[in-house]
Amino acid sequence: MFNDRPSNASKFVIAGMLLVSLCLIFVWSIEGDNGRLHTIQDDFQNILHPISSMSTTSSNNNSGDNSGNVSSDQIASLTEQVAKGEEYRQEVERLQGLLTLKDEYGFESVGARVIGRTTDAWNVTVTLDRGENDGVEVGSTVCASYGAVGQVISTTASSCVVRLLTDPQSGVACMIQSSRTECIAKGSLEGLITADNIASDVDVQAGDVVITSGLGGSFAKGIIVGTVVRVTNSTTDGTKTITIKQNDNTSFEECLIVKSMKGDSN
Amino acid sequence: MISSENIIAIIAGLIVALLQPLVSPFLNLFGATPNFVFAFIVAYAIVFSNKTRYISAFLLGIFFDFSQGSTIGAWMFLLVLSAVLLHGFAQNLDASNVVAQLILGIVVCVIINLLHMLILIVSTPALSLSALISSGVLWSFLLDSVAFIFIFALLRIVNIRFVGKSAFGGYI
Repeated sequence: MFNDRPSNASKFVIAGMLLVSLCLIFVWSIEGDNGRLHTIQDDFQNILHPISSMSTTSSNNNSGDNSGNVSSDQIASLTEQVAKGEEYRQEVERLQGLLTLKDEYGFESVGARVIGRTTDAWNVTVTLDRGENDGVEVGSTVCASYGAVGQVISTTASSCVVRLLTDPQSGVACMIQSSRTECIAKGSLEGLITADNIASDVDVQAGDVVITSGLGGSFAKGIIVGTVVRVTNSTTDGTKTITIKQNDNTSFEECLIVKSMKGDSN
Repeated sequence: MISSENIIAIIAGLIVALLQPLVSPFLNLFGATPNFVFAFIVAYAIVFSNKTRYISAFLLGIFFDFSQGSTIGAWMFLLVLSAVLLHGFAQNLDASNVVAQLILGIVVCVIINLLHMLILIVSTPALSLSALISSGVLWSFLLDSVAFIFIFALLRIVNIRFVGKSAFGGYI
């Protein structure tokens, strides 16, 4: 049998508890989502959030019911956000590279985005979103963050076409930086940049940097073209042919169109 | 001086208060989760006969309502009510009749869960009866009953081992 029957005072306390509970139910029901009880409840749940989130995350991952679907949506949303974040990060990195390049060479330039790209090997060009209205002229040098990438071959009011260095029809006056030997770098159908007819006594090795020489005025001087990756000796005339690799193989999406170099009067 | 029954109530109350947010989401059954707090109050009110059960019921009810986002006051009311109901019924039971105590606990689980559903319908007009059933309110009775059986067994062991009394105050 119970040896602890509630006294009259206890009965009052119990009745009070029940009454308070019923009052709270009533107030909670009529006050609306912005009411005081709702606010306190939200605050309390925020305090307990670190504890409850541990279990709900795992629960959502493990369950296959409706809560699992919500979790899939959340995962999809988060994946999208992560992808966007990564996209922004890469863009910032590329733009940072361009800014660094601009600071290094000190040229006056206009930034542009690639809006079109050819896919055939015999005509390797890109279309940029800057044109005559932005001061772009035919013949302007175009640089990506890793160095020179091509030259403007045609313009419209709001766009221009750039022939890339890897185009078989392109040619740029270059210089091997270590030996100051000048050469003409050309594109090829294989997408490689090569320079031939280099004298056999020129000391050139893989890893040497190749820059634009500025001769002929088609390309601004001193911009990196790439590095030598292979040196081939010709058996017939004793000259050397070098293969040049641009410093970044990834397709650029933003670039700088050089309008004038530091010290140019133009 | 705090009695051993009160110490058990405090420690066990803290444990179920932690178990509720940490463990119950893992035991999801058709949208319903077990209410360890409720199961503890039912088991404690059957095993121990002191007044702590009312205070525990009220305090744990406050905690449950605010932490679980349900209607404020609902579980506060239901836990105190279940302690009162159990006092009324359990005093007529033989302390050694474990089966009768278990059945009483399970019946209380059913009654309280039905009352909870009723409170939800009244306090939340947006909820329909079919929505409540489909979201698993009735399933919670099953989970609560299982939780009650486990907690009841544990409390009986603790009671025998540390307090030295059988249920409802009788010495073994």
